[in-house]
Amino acid sequence: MGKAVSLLEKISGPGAVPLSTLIQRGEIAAGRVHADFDDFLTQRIRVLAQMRRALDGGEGEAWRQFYAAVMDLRGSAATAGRKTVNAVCASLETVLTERVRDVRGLQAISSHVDALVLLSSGNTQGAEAEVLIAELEQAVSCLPVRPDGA
Amino acid sequence: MAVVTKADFSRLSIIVIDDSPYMRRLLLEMLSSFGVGRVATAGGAAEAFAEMRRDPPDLIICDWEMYPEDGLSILRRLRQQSGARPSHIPFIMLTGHNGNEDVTTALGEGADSYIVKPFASETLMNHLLKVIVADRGHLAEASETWALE
Repeated sequence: MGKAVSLLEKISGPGAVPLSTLIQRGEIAAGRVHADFDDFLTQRIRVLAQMRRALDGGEGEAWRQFYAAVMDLRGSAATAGRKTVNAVCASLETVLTERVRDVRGLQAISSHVDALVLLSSGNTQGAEAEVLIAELEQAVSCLPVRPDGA
Repeated sequence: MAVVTKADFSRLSIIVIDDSPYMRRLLLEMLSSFGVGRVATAGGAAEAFAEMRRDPPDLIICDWEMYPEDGLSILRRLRQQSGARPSHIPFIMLTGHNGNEDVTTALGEGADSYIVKPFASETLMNHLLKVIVADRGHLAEASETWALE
């Protein structure tokens, strides 16, 4: 067995490129991926809508899966620079983690999924989107907090 | 501490573990654009461990919030491999949460760095270099045994 090579040695090859160049290439690559975010959003909302239906009378498993999907979309939206989608997901996360899971909570969840549909359609942007998010947050703030907080 | 101003990542192998297809694609494209020689992706723990047994990576980038097994659990399983290479592979945790408690937890469990989403190309590069410069895994006994299931 030969001498183990450190990772620092591994990246010190003759073809080394200035970091600024590599960072710029990374930005371009990220831009290409973010340009396709709308397709991803449409697909994820379809999945979320199906998962939302499973929450009616569903057990903890359905809620955990729904929560994971929301977190996925929130992180992806934040990374893609889609602030409004990220804000709706953040509000939805509050419902899922802190608020009651009765019919009122389910209604709030549906409203958030509907809001995501509106945002993905492109018909709700700018000030309209801000109003929509504020209304969602207001609705969430009126929901009772779950006693167990679980 | 070494100051790196240039890099050639063509000999580097990285695995990205994330249940989000979007994030997997984003990291794959960004790391490839950096010139990383081999970028493997996995959508969950089982797929990741199978891939890592088949071809152990130099570095791991793993999302925290995954279901059913999260990134913290994956990190713990890796770090429990006392004396084996998996216990030394640099591990970068990726998360949507930036609370101090979360950072402390991840680092306390053996993560080498911690990236909060959203992140820019420069952030990803900085974290890669941070763990590469700090890596001492090559000094450890390099058993390639993967006992993990």
